[in-house]
Amino acid sequence: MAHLFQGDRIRLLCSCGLLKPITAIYFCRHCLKLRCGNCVSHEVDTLFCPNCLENMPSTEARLKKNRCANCFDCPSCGHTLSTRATSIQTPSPEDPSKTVARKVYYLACTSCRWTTRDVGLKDQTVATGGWVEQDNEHYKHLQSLLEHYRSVAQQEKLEREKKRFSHRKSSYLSLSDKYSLPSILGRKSLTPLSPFAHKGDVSQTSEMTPLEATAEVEGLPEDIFTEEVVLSSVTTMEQRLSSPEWQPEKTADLYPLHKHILVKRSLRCRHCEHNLSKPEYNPSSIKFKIQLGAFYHVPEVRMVRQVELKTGVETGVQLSLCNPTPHDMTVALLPFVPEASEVSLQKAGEESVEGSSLNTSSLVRVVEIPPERTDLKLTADVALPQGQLILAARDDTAEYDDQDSSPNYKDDPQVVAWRRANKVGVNLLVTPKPDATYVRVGFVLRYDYTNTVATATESRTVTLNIPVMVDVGPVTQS
Amino acid sequence: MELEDSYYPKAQYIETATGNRVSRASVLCGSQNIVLSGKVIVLNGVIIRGDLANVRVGRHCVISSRAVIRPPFKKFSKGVAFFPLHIGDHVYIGEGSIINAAAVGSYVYIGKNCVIGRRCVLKDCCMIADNTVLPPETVVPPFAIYTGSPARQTGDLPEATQDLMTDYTRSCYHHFIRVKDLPPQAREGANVARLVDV
Repeated sequence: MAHLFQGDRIRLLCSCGLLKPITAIYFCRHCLKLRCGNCVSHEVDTLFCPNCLENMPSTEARLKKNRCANCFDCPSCGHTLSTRATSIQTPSPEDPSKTVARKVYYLACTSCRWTTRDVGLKDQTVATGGWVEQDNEHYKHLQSLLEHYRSVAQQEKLEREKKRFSHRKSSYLSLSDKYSLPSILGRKSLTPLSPFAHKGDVSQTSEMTPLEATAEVEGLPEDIFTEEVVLSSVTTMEQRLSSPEWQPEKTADLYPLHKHILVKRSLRCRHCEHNLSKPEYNPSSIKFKIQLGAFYHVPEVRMVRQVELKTGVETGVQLSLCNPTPHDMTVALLPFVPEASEVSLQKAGEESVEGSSLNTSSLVRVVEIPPERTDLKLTADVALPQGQLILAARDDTAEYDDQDSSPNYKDDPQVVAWRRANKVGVNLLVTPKPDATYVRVGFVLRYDYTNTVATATESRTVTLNIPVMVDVGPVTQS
Repeated sequence: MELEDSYYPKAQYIETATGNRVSRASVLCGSQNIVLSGKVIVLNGVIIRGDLANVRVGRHCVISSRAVIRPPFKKFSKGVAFFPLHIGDHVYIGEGSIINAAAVGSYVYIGKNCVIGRRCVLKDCCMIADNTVLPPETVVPPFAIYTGSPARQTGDLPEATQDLMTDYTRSCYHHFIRVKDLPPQAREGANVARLVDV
């Protein structure tokens, strides 16, 4: 959705070193740092079918290979198949001489007109379900392989466990062995294995015979040289790969595909383990239980209009700053030095790792995120407005207010171009560097953030610095 | 980038008490069946087929020029029936798009030259990219971007979509400014509405 206000032209530098538009960035209220999709942990909340929008428990989803049981995709074009009903004349069960109308259902694609009748699938008497699953000829072999490797893995795990036990508590185990006491510890570790133990015993593992490679390959069928190729009856690569288990070569072998399910996910800060985004469970809901997007906590920067830029010519660029929080905010623009920010990023990374390992319990796994390298080259010099300015709090009723609030603020007209509700327009002066074709400027946005976390002990307002990069636009050669 | 101001001459638009701005060069068939809930912008060349079934458009929607909004039909053994078409709040419909959906949720963005097939269901907070053909009876889940022909999901929308769309449609409305008459150089531009013969 970055296209809406061309939001991808203004990007913030995330704490992991990536530049992302404000909509792709989260703000952790507890670490007071920016996070993005790269440096948070993603968790699957709910699985649902994108067509019928029904929830599916994760265990069921695993059984059904992450596909919906009732919805099908067209094997020909990939669109969702819809159920069609027709009535046919069939001989009546009581009196074979008479015919009765019966409703039958088949699947049809509304996009490419493919139907299950095209491939000779029998019509169903029930509206949903009833479609026979395709059997893979290698199913049994694959299943036995899976079982085999599961038992091998179990065996290895057992051995590893044994080794560890004997290593650590050798005296205790040897004692229990000596008196042939059923060791409680030993049994505990074995109980979860029992469902596999009887399947994957030694006898079965030996049953598997490895396949042998042969030099002889079956020759091509005779008719491949004589038969004319009808391209319309051959499937495309995409059609083949959409059903990886069968990979039909002929269009006559296409079979409806179960629809892939989608997930709703929640995001968690890797440093403090707090949720940054948690959607509601209902698949069609757009509400969030927790939503800590930067869009709601960091002042939003937008360009006001496109300007023409010339090499070496100082041009005025107007930016708008918008306060999304319900608290007044003091904002200042500071110069941005790419090298310094890189160093500070690394430092911040080290500090946070040290800090978190000190105050979080050993149970919490702190994942270190390697700092990313991004090209932070600036292609223009920028003259930033001096001094601070105050951004008014967001007020949803301001829309209905006719009064202009601007007289309440004593603004320097050199800095503030205009003021509207919680928005302020500021002027920058941009001078493109000699050999630049596209102007990119950067600055550090310093603002006072009012912390709303209940546990915040010290001062409720904190001053934060956020590096911002602005793609101002192309340079026209003069 | 903030939106730029666009101007419309007073004579070419009708502004209702609830703030709807409807171009005189649009065609609203069966206007007694059309409900525009307020602050809706209907630009020139738009066709809304209220004569087929009820059409309800939510608040702060933008219907760009040459879009067609047409309630969907379903074939039955005895003829066809038309179904009402509901569009939620803060929906943007791009130029030249044809909407045949059964329902369009709130905070939906539909690009230019799209075809939304019969009885599609667009849930809240989804986006249809420019030049997309959505085949009939497609369901677009929330936070999905659909692209191509036939349309497929190609991306996800950010969590802030609801507020972004609200902001976008609001600023569309605020930057659509009434003037007494357009300046002469703008009058020759393509933006000027010409009355459509019906």
